[in-house]
Amino acid sequence: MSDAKLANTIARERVDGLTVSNAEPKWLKESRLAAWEAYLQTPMPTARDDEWRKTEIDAIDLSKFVAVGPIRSTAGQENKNALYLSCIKSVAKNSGVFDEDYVRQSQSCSLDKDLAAKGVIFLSLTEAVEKHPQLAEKYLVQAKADENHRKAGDDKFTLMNRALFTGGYFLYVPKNVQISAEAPLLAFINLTDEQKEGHGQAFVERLIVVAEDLSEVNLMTVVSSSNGTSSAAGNAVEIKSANRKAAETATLANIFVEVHVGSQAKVNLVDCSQFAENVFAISRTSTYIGRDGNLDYTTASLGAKQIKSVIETVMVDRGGQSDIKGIVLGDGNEHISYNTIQEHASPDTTSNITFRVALKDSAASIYQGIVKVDKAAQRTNAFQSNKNLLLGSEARADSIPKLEILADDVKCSHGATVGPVDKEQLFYMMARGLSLKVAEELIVTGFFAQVLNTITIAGAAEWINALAAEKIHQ
Amino acid sequence: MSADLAFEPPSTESAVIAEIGNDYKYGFSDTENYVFKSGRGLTREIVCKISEMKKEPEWMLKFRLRALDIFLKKPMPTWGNCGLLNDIDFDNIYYYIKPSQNSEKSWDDVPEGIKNTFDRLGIPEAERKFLAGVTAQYESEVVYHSIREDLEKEGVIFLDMDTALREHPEIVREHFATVIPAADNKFSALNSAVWSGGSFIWVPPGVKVEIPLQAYFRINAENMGQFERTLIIAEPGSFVHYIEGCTAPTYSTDSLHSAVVELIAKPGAHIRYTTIQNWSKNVYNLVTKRAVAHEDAKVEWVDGNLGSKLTMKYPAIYLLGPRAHGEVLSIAFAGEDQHQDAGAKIIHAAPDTTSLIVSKSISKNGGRTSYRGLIKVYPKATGVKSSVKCDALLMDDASRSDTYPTMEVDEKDVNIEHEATVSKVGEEQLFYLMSRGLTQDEATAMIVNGFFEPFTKELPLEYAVELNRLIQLEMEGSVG
Repeated sequence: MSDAKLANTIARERVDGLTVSNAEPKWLKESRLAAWEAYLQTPMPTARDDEWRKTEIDAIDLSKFVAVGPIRSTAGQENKNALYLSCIKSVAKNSGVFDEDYVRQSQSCSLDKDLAAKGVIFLSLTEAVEKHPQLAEKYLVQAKADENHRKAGDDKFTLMNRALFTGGYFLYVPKNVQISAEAPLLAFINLTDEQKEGHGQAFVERLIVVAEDLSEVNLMTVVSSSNGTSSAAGNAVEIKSANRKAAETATLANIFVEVHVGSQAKVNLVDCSQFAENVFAISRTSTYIGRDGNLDYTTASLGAKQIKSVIETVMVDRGGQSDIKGIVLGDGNEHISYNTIQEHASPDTTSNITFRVALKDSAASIYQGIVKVDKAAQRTNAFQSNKNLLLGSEARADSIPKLEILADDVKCSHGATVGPVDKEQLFYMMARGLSLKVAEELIVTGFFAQVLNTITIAGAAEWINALAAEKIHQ
Repeated sequence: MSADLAFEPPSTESAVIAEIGNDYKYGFSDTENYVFKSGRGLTREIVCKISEMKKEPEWMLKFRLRALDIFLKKPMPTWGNCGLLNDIDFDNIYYYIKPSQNSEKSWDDVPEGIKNTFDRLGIPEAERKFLAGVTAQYESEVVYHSIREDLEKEGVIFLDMDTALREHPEIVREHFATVIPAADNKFSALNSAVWSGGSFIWVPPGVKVEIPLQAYFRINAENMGQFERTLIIAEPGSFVHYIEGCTAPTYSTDSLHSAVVELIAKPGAHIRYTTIQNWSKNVYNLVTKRAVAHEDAKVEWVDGNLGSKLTMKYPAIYLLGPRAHGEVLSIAFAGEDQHQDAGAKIIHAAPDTTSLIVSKSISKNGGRTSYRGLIKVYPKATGVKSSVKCDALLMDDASRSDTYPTMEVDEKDVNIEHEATVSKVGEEQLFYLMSRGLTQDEATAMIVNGFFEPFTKELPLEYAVELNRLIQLEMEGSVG
């Protein structure tokens, strides 16, 4: 691994090495190589591309990053990081925990015995490939080909993920099986934010969630980064703001999540990310909603150097519903860019997007949302809301909510606002004796709470709320 | 006069609805009779020839030639409806046509063929009744032009652009292309190279022009580009309302219309610019419109887009001085094979500036409407308030509506709002009206009418008869 040339993210040797060392089956090797070819041929996006506008992508040289992983050890189950411990405490009960920690170089996965008996599979991706090759093949490789409705091709980083993924989990919930909101599954992925021998490190994570017909899934995923030497591991935001400007991209996180919601299945997902200010996180979450399926997805973004995240919802069949919600809290020189895509390919579908962004210091956010309604998707209801709260005097927010409607029997609307904390609200609170800072913090907390309160997973909203409040207060 | 008009008022609402966007009422054309018609295509020689025929000063010729270089170098835009854009054959267009020798002051002197066209559109009637001044642009040159005496007394200059360049070279040179430089985009460069005609208005400080100034534009020759250039300067504390309406005969091959409109509202001035654009369905309408509003100034674009094959038009307002205000109120109607890609741009570059955008669009029979807008707030532009509202109605499942708003906010102390809705005609509204005895078509017409109402109510009552009819026929006329 010390030879960066061998392990960098554009070397063919890396792909070969993965397939050999993991003893991967032929189909996976072929899939990786095909994706790798396409990945190399796809030009690097530039800040001039509409989708990547204003990101500092031009400074990223993929040949300079060491590709990390996979983790093999299951040792060191003690010394969990602070984020893990506080989350486990807040979400009192769970049905299983996936833990992948690059700082401790340790990985484990547990699952409730009853659920396992019912056929639920919750494993690291490497293990899933070994133990359930057919299912793994279906969702790692074939699912894309089956997906007629995926019009947008993979972008460079999705292809990179398909070629080079090493970490991540695979969750499969069979028909009629329920994983309740009272005892959800939890997943923790903790990256390191240090350079390795002068090179940045690249983490390529692939997460797959499959909810078969009539099933119910509750799952919370926490992705974080911390440097191994810090005692308060997981709380990397504490690094002095003076260092922020100088922070170079030391870590590149490439996360590709695919969620398959079966017919009449109900899937509640919560994602929370908290990276250090030298982490460039690129992620794509693609969700496919089957007939009368229901997706409730909340993402909380609480820090990084740069975040470029695509959240895509495809209404594959009639009657699907999706509710995508996001809270974003940026500070320092953080740059956050979210693209949401609501693609209505089938009739009688409903999708909602609510994104709330609060920006401190000189953080910048670009929200681009698009609602696409295909000709066949009559009786579509689609709503999109993006609210931006500017707290820092140099904070910037761009909002580009787009609609492309080809059917006529639809109700589509979007709204976007940008502004500071409402002065009347501040005045009201200060008239009751609160200081300006406390009043402002309360308003921002309330601004997020309206989204967080919709989370059904027990204890999750409170936990994220506390993390956000801490960062607001800093 | 109106008895000569080429259409019968439709008898029922349903007839009107059926006609919206279908038949082009003014699809007649006169036999071509021109004093000068340039060859097809664009060369350095043609640009020199245009400048020479107009006896322009040296600086204008230099400006044109530089613009020509920019035009040839600039690539086509890679956004918008690229398919249609790339169909434009720049080598197959007449860049300059001069229909008759002089700009006419009196109606009697206007050549008969041209007069017929205007007669059929009802221009003289409008003139007799209430017009302050008519600059009727027939092809590339202004042929008919009159100014009411009291305007002249107040010192208002209202001329066609070519005459203005001859008679008021200093004012023109000081302001020309200061708002939209030739290099702004490919089509402004094209216009800068071959511009001809258009209006020039200069309003002295403190003068309020109470009556709207109007210009009438027509394209007549097949495959003829029309590149008018309008410049309006409102000196401090003045007010002017300018109205521009367009209609063109239907032809089988494509025409290109690429105007440049520059508005300068100096401190405390107020400019309102109203456009009703109804090009025939083969016209490319690629227009650059931009205004600057200085301290306490106010600029309003009232913009109706009914015709053309492809319209790309985004009236812009640069709010450069504190407390400047900008408004864009627009409607777009796209019928079969039409794409109305319209929008608005507001740049807040000073504190306490405010803006309002209201956009309404209807797509029918496979038409496509797009709203493409930008709200930009620069750092230190505190106290900015901006509100954008876009509503779209889809009349059938073959049609399409897009909304592409962009908000770029680099200042904290601002309030920016954007709202958009896309829907079909409301079932409940239809049901309510039909339960009161209206047929579905009548009810639909009434709802469509109400949908456009915020726009139609902004048009002055004493509008030219032709434009009134157009509005009535396409939108308002649906009731009764």
